Amino acid sequence: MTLLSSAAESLYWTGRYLERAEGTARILATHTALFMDLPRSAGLTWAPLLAITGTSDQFDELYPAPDEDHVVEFLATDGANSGSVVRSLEQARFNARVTRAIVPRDAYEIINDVHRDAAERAFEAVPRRSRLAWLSYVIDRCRAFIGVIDGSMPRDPAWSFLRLGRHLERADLTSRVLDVRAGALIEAEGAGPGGPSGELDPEELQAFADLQWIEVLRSVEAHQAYRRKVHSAVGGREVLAFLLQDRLLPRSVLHCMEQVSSSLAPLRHPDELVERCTQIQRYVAHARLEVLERDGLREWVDDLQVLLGQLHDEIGAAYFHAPVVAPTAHDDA
Amino acid sequence: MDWSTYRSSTWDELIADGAPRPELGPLADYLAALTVSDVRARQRAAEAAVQAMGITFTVYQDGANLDRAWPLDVLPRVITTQEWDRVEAGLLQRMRALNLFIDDLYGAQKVIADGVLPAELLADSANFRPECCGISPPQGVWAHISGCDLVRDGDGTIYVLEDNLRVPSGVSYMLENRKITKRVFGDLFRDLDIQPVDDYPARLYDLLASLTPRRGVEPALVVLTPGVHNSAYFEHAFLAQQMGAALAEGSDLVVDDDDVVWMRTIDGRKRVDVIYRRIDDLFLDPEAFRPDSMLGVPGLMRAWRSGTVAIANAPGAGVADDKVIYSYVPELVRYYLGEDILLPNVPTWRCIDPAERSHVLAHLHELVVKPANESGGYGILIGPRATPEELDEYRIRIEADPRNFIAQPTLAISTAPTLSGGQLAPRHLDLRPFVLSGDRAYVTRGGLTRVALREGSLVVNSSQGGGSKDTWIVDPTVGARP
Repeated sequence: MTLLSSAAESLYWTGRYLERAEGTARILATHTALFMDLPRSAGLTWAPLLAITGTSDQFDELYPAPDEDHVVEFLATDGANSGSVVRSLEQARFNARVTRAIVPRDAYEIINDVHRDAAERAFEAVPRRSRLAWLSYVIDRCRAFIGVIDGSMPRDPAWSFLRLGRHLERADLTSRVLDVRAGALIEAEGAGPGGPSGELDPEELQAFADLQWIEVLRSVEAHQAYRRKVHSAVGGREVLAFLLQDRLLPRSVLHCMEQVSSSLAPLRHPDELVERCTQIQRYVAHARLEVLERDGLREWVDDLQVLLGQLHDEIGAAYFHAPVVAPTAHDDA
Repeated sequence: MDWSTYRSSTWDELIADGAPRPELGPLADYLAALTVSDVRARQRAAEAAVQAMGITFTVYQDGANLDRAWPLDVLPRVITTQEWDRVEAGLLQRMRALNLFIDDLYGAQKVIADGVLPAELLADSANFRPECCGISPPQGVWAHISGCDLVRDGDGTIYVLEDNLRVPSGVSYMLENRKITKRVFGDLFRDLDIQPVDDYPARLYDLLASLTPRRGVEPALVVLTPGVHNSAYFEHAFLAQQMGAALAEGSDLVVDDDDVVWMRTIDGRKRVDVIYRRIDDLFLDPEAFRPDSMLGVPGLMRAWRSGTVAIANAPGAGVADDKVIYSYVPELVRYYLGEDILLPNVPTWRCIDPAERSHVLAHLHELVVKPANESGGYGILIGPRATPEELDEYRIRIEADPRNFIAQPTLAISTAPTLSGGQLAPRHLDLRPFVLSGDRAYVTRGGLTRVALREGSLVVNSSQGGGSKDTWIVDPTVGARP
């Protein structure tokens, strides 16, 4: 089965953008739920969501302040934010359209529908009374897409590129959530009582910290799995270990990287790609959590992000933008 | 429903004298039993299915390309198998003659030497490609895929209105329309013998694969599209998917110094054997035609000429789309096949002939005048509906360039009941069957019926507000009465 480089690139981006839409919708939904649980005095803000999605600067140019309505609008529906849920769906649809000859028809119809419906009902995304329904609709449709893909698509290179995009995006998002949310929690714990939420007594503070650790887990759909595996109370070290290194957890960074490697395996894969994947897996598997749970998590995630970026570029060079006129060893003449 | 108040100004495909046509057999009884509210409900279901299935066409408007839901009127257009067999024979005959004609034009040009076609017609033909002279494509076929437009006149005669031998589109919508009507008229598909159309992609694949220059190797097929912004992109993707072919844009293909065509794939370059191109001739290859074309593949004509790749339709096949040449088709059928034409042309006056031109100029207000090389209904003068100023302006254009105009009588194009404002009303329609020409010729059972949605309008193009209908070829002697 022949796969054009341009089609492979569109499949990869379809996988990435759909995962981005789903992931952004999920962090919006979990943060909204957390906000409803915590008292105002806990000092929770919406700015961390901007940090997770790496859009703080762009937001500041467009909006006066990171209050709830503005942040939700910016991340859910704003056409000016290329990473908003609606824009991600739009770009997923554009790329899927280019690969319409390859993606199963039912899967294309899902993208087509969710893009149209989410955009048409954009006004429901911000008000609290309709927000969670809007977000769960998007999440549900993105999952339905993966269901069709997994249930009906041959395990050919086209499938590999969709998976590749999806898992790289997942690894990226999980690491960003840890960076921003876990990083902040660790710093707050380090500051001890009398820190930013000084009006609260230590017991309350601990309760709120627990809720926030739970949010970290829920942001990447890992709370229930965590409960089943780790029976003790939620704690920083355990969460870090779970989300970074648990091989069996679908959104852990290590699991995602193993999926990236297994997506590449059936393709013609240059050595440097394999080496890069191995390097990232080793980096994650050997992370010294006993240190990171106290200090240095952000720097550690920054370096991981750089590695993921390099892998992304190398995938492009190997499959999407390779020079063609010069004969290659893989000519099928 | 009560059809006694339904009145068409011309031949209607389903209704005659206030009742469903008895020649439609059991279907006539079904139509009699139908209620408007039932049709409305099925129309809503059809529109929902079009939305959900993402069946779109693209229009260019206000500087942007917009996807519009494909317009389908749910009540089908019906033709009996007996009548369709005659149409099919006529289309096959026509395409046989036209392919022999094109092959002759780019070869010995006997048709001109023998005085059947005036030489000056060729010299001035917008779609004649001198670059193609001396080339013999496989099987001698140039127009592998064609989509002739048919209309029925008020007396019931079916005419060929025009030939589309370049990149005719619409076949995917024929297939999609059938999927929708199967959903919403499932009951009828059980009771009647409606002839299937779904084998088209497999037939198209077989035809294209038979053109491969490399025998004994599974042919690598490519559908060459101008890209996602083209109005027919949906169809290009659809056909590529149905055939398991790669959907490529010009930038995905490369021609090397040995005139071999390659596609850029994730495994490096891969040789291309057959190209089903949906790009017009002049944009195919900037080396040979328009140097500013960003859509094409530099060197493609070189490769085709040296026989390393097959291209369907062959470059230059559009020469027979010229409406002046169209008017010669009855003569061409006689010349190449020694037969009388089975499916008539609309009577046509050629403005290039002085006597016919003066007839046209004298009767301009009664005639339809068409430029020789436009498609999609552009540039047409409909005499009875034109203002005196428009007639005068057109008269000047004809006198300035008589070779480029033909005129035809205004036909009373047939109608079929169509939902309009919640009621069933007669609307004019045409029909585009698709013909595959190669080792084994094939005609779709039916085709794409296009319908003008506004009262009295003859404009059926979807880009200009036209709609479509599924086309049912039905044997009236088969089927249960409802």
